[in-house]
Amino acid sequence: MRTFKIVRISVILAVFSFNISMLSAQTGLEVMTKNERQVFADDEKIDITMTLVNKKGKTRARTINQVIKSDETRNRSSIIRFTSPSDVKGTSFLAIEYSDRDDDQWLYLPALGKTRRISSSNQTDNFVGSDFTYEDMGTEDLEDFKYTIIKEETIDGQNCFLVEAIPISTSKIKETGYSKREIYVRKSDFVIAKINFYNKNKVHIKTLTTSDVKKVANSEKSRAYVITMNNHKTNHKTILKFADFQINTGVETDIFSKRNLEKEYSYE
Amino acid sequence: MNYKQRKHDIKKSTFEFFSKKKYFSLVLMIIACMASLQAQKEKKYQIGGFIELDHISYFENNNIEEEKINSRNQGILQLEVESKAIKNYHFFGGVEIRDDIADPDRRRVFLDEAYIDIYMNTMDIRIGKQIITWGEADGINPTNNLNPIDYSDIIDTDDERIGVYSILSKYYIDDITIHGVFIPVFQSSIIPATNSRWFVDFPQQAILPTGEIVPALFELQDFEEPEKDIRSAQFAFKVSTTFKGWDFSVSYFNGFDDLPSLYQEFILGQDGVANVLITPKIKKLQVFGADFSTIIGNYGLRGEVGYFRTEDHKGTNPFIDDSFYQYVVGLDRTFGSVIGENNLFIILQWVHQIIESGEDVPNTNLNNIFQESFVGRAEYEISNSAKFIIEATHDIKVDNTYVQTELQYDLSSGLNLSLIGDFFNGKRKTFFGNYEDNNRIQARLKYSF
Repeated sequence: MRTFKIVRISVILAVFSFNISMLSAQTGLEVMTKNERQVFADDEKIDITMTLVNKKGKTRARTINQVIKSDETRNRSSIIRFTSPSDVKGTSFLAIEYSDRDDDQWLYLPALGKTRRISSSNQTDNFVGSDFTYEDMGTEDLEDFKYTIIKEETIDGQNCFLVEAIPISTSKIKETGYSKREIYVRKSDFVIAKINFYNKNKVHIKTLTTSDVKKVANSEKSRAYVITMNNHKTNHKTILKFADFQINTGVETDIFSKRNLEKEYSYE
Repeated sequence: MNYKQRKHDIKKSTFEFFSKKKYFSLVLMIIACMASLQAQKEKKYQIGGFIELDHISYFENNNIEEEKINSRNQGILQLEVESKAIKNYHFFGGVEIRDDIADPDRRRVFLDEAYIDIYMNTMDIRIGKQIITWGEADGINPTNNLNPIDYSDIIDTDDERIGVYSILSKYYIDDITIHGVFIPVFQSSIIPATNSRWFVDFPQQAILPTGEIVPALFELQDFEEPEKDIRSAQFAFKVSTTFKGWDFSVSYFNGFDDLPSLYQEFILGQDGVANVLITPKIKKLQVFGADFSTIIGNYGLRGEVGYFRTEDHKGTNPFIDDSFYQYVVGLDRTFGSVIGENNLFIILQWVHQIIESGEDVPNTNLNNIFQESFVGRAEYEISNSAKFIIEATHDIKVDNTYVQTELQYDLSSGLNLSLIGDFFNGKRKTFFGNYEDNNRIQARLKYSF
């Protein structure tokens, strides 16, 4: 089954969440296992502002509205709609994940009034011009990696585990863009504070940092409300600012349909 | 009233509108905008649209004596208002104001779309002036026959589909959607004016029904269109579904060809010169269609077919298109990190037209341009704010080619600059070959708000 790649920004958030009750977890795999449990909320709605900053400091902003729902087999459906700027407003993606076959993905282009079935992107492709790849945005199968706690370190005043993640499965080694990631997990709430990304040549190419971590209203889950990805190769960076998290509010399954994709205001 | 007179009247009425009513229109527009902006504050309405400025220059000036248009300097203001003020309803309206100082025939104030959506449990209905897009192929869609097109600039048809007053209903049963369209009054496409560079001049000679070739003078007569009432109603159905990674649909259209058949009447003078009267006539058309799309590996595979059953099904009337089949099949793929970290999207399609009578037809007819054609497009992201696009088509049967290159640059959010080049090649009396003198460059500045 192809990994569900296209618009799982919220998955990043889940990666940064963790169960506070398991402070005793001391192995890398245990840390990441607990983290994975936080990944799959039944459903989640998010408003996101994505700001692209080039090496000259010039910025471009896009706002996105996303809804995600997981079924009982942990397959996920996602619908995402660009809400600004005006020239891309209304452009929407729908992705439905299956256990037994490739995912369905459609793109709705309001200027053409047309919905197109699209192929899953490569893991290493950039997500809509940002510094995040689809791999960065996706969930990860813990069996695909070897996780090792290297040391403990303080990041922005927070004590963190430094977990090294190295791909070990044949398929992951083939499709990943990274030889290694250094993941800093906060001890206080097990939210990820930072990730260093190393490419296949073992060069440190990107750094992800999080800030403004807090609990979501009416939820036990914590989320990073700001995530920044710095690309050291291009001196470009992408800032994601999250607002209006709504977790486990009972999103209807029929939202994730081509019918709904083509509607305006479909999930407001 | 002949064709020239008709165009003159359109031109005259357009001029009158701009001269006498423009201030009144502006006042109305400002009031509407102010009202909409106030409503926006209350979150009941949204107002948007775009401002576009275009300059086009041709590499070769046309013969001045022919009074052809040699450039275009145009501004477009499109205002769009939509509302979700009432639950399960959606309202949309868009007005386009186009002013072209180089080609007054292209001036217009135009209701682009204006419709109401009604959402029900298992059914959606859209009523009003609307653009309905059918078909899974890219750009060339045999099943997409519901809206006429403004061909006043033949290669600038992206945003030139004309809305039709119609009712569109979609009924949903599990993964099956049944589409129904009713268009009560026919509306034809807009063909280039005689002073347009896209109007192909008549030949100096004519072939008489006897086979004799004589000098000729051609003259366009009145359009013969269906009555502008319920007698010209058109309808269409489509059933679409999704099954295990495939999207399918079958469709049927019953209406009119939005392009006229050109009837010719020969009057041979005593001086041996034939006077050829050309009468454009709109004729009935049915289209049986089907399409599909799926993903195979990293490739998108899509296809579409239409059987166009014209009034001349038996192929006996030389002035009406013979019935024909047209299919399109194509592959597309996005290649990531081609140079640096930028993506490259490529689509390649094969278009084939089969005339039911087996006769060869010239591809100068807009319905017969793509007979055995490859059509491709590549989009390369140069950076986060720049993109290069190249589109090309080559017909191997009639040997003519068209290439369009475009460099897009996002100056800031919502503000885009495009530099476009259009290039034609082919034998004379082929569609693109006829336009070899129309190679041109275009600069477009567009601000969306």
